Amino acid sequence: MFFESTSPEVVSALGKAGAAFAICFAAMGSAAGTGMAGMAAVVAWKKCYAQKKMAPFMLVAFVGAPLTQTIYGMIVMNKVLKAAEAGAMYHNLLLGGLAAGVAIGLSALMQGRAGAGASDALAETGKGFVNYLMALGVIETVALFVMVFITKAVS
Amino acid sequence: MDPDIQIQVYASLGKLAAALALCITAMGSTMGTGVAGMAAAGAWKSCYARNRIAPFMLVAFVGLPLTQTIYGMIVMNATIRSIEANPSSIVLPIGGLVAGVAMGVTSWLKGRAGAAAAMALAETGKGFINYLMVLGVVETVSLFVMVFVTKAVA
Repeated sequence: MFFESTSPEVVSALGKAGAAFAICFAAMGSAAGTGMAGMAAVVAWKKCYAQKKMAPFMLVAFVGAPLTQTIYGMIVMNKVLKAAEAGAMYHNLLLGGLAAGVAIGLSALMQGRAGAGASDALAETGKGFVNYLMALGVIETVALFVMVFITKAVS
Repeated sequence: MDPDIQIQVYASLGKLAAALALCITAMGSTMGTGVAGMAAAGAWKSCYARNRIAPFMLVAFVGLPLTQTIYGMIVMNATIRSIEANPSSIVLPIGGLVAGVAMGVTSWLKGRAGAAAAMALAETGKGFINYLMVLGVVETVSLFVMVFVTKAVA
């Protein structure tokens, strides 16, 4: 059966698929997060221009925040690749890489949603940039933890 | 199957259960911090719009679901230790996976409770300790899971 194959090529390829999953799912989350925050920022700027208020350029920081998760996905991908090339068995690499990618991606998605709320709030009130950034930083930390801790399980 | 390969497969499946323990817990943490983060942003906005002091302590409600990821890591380590000590059994490490789900759900619900707490604190400016105690009770569930499951997967 496919999943019982122990041919070195198949084992290595399945491990590498886990590496690809890690970065791709993280990137999907980043895409969704930056997309949501981007849409909210555009609407917030539009409101500012329509009301002849100053449009805060700093909303770009909220849009860009979920981008970092793709970098974390790449770091996990490199770890999984290294293990796959060393000939490690693939189960933990394939599904562990996938799970890490989903967790990191979900963090990017939720960070983008919170960033959308922060964009709206900052554009409307002009206050609280540091507060919003701290909240986004906390959400980011989850992805950072996953990236650091998963090393043991995908080695 | 060759016995050496079989041991490698068991070790790999055990590490998979460990990875899932961490990742599923982290998924719950992201949901929790995300929900609480959105609520905190809304609560701060409403404070600024009414020219009231925006309580910085709302960050505590956003950050609380983060702790479960640390618990997930501890369960992951226990699971890896278990599979390294006895690579012929995959059944025990699966407990790590189930613990991950339990802790992830706790984290998510703690975030939802934290969202309500953020709204309440921003609106009234009172009750921080009360809200924190409630969140502490929710946290205790995952603490119990972490402590007790470590015995079960050992």
